Amino acid sequence: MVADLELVALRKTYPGGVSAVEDVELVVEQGEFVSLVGPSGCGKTTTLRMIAGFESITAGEILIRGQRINDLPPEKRPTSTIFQNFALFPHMTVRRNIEYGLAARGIKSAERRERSNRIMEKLDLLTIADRKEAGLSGGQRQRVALARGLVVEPRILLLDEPLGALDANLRRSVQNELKLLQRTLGITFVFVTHAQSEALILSDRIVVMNRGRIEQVSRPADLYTRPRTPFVARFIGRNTLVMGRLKDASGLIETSYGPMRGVVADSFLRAGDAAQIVLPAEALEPHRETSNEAALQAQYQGNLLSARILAVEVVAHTRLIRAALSDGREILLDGHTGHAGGEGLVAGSSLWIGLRPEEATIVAADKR
Amino acid sequence: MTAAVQNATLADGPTAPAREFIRRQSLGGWMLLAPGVVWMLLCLVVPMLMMVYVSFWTQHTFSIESTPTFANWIAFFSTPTYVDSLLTTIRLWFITLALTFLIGYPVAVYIGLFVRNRTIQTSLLVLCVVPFWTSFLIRILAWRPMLGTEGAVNLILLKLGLISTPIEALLFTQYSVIVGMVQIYVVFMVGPVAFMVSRIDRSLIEAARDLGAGTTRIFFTIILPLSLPGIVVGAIFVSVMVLGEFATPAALSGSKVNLLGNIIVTQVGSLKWAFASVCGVILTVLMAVTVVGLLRIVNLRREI
Repeated sequence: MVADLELVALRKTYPGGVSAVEDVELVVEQGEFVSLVGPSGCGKTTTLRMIAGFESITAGEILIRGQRINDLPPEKRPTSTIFQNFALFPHMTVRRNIEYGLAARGIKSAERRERSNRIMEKLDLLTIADRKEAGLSGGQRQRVALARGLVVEPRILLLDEPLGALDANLRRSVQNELKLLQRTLGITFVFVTHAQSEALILSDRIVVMNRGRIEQVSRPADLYTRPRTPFVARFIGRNTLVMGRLKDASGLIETSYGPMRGVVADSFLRAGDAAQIVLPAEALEPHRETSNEAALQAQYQGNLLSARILAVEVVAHTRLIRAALSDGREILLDGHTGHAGGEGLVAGSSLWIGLRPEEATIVAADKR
Repeated sequence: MTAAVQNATLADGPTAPAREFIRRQSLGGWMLLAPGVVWMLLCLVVPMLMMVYVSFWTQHTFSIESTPTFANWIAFFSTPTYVDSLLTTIRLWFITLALTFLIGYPVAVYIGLFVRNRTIQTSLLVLCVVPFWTSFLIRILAWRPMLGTEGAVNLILLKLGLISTPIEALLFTQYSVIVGMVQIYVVFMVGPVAFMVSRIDRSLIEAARDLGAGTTRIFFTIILPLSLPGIVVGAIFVSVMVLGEFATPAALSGSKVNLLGNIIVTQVGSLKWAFASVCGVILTVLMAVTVVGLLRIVNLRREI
């Protein structure tokens, strides 16, 4: 089967030599929801704009269903873009906005009306069909932008941080709508966002970008539990990274806190390499200092750290503990209040922090 | 029902101190308005009413008296010279307006849309205003050495061999008047349009392209409608100034073209105040109708 979207060694260099995107390789299957995430300036928006046709391609290829579209102008590409500010035409009604793409394709007014009615019904826009942009709420604008992009039946929908302008509550409900819509339509979505939580909720796969390059492509759960690079480990979730040297490629690392065990995520790592172990805040388990140390050592196969509690914060069912390791380094624990041994965990007291080896990941050391 | 509600509201209306407060508030409002109102009354309303009033006075050869009469109005509309002058005014106004739009709009779109660099954009607009650094009369008179029989245009055409004898129709005709007025007023079309066009969100144009629209469609469905307020403002500027013109035809037409403005100048010069007032009222009405009509097209308050 031919992939819906394929990026081959894609590269963008701006005049003056500034490199925005470097050797991006990505294959997206039909109906997939793929998110591009990363800090600002990581090249995610540039990549999206190259797919849409707004940025020229310095090198590499973009294929849609096997067909090279490098030289097609945006108006000829089978993609629709949802812009960050929605870019609704302010002088047109909702209906005319939605019918714009149909009119541009020379579709007769009767059919235009029928198709715009259908999509407006699906997105619950019929009651506001005659309003202009100024009279719409943020959520309505977003739905109009979606309707306008979808009514032309694109193969791929490109979304450029379309939820950034919405407030938190609205964002949540729009996220659900978006996911549902994508499932029912079966259209490929490429979604750019800097909000990792959004990407984790919505996506089938997440592409983490940094400095114009792809760091990791994974399913959300894998990305969260198995970061493959130090950048991803820092960018996704709230992890503590501890430097060390790999003693055994099967997952033993010597750190300043003693030997620790984890899963090696980087297949290029060899015994003796500088490496670091990723300690996810959610996987760290707190134990009172009065616990039996030998039993804990056995339970966590040696992944046991001694620390002093700096602050405890309980919010509903979660308990956030900020603690200092033996050398004063801060570490964050994010656990459920239901977890046994909660009492006695107060600021100033000492505790044991345990981590099951299968929940720790070993990644390469930071590049110099 | 409504009456009852109204009564209730009246009965439960503001308490005495509150009413006092509201009264003082509104008094304060009037006080703030007063300078503007007085200024408008003295400088605008009174002179206008005066002009209308004087247009009905009785005009003698060298004097004028306040006996009401329609004689001036009848004289204006029954004299071919004056009616012709009115029609010429309207014709030249339309031609100038159309040309300032045709020449100014592309320039404005270029500056506002295609020049991305803000500094260059501002520089280009300033460049459009540079001619205004010299006096109005010099700008007009400068067209004489350009358009004359031995002027620059004729010389160049002769040297290029495109013509064998100089074109005399270039100067001291209504064409030279049009050329002069278009050159002077085109910038008033460029400014407002460039401003509106530069405010068009680039993502709107990208969105239109993304949806499959070509350049022509984007121009007619996005750029033109969104620059309409600029066109209206520009058209108001140009109209008001062209309708009040007298210097350009005086300098460039060799007295062959007489706009209403020129008639007013002549009449005032020979102390025919009442008749000049008639022309003034007609011009004012023409301008008012134009401005109101143009403002009907767009809601400027909302657009700018």
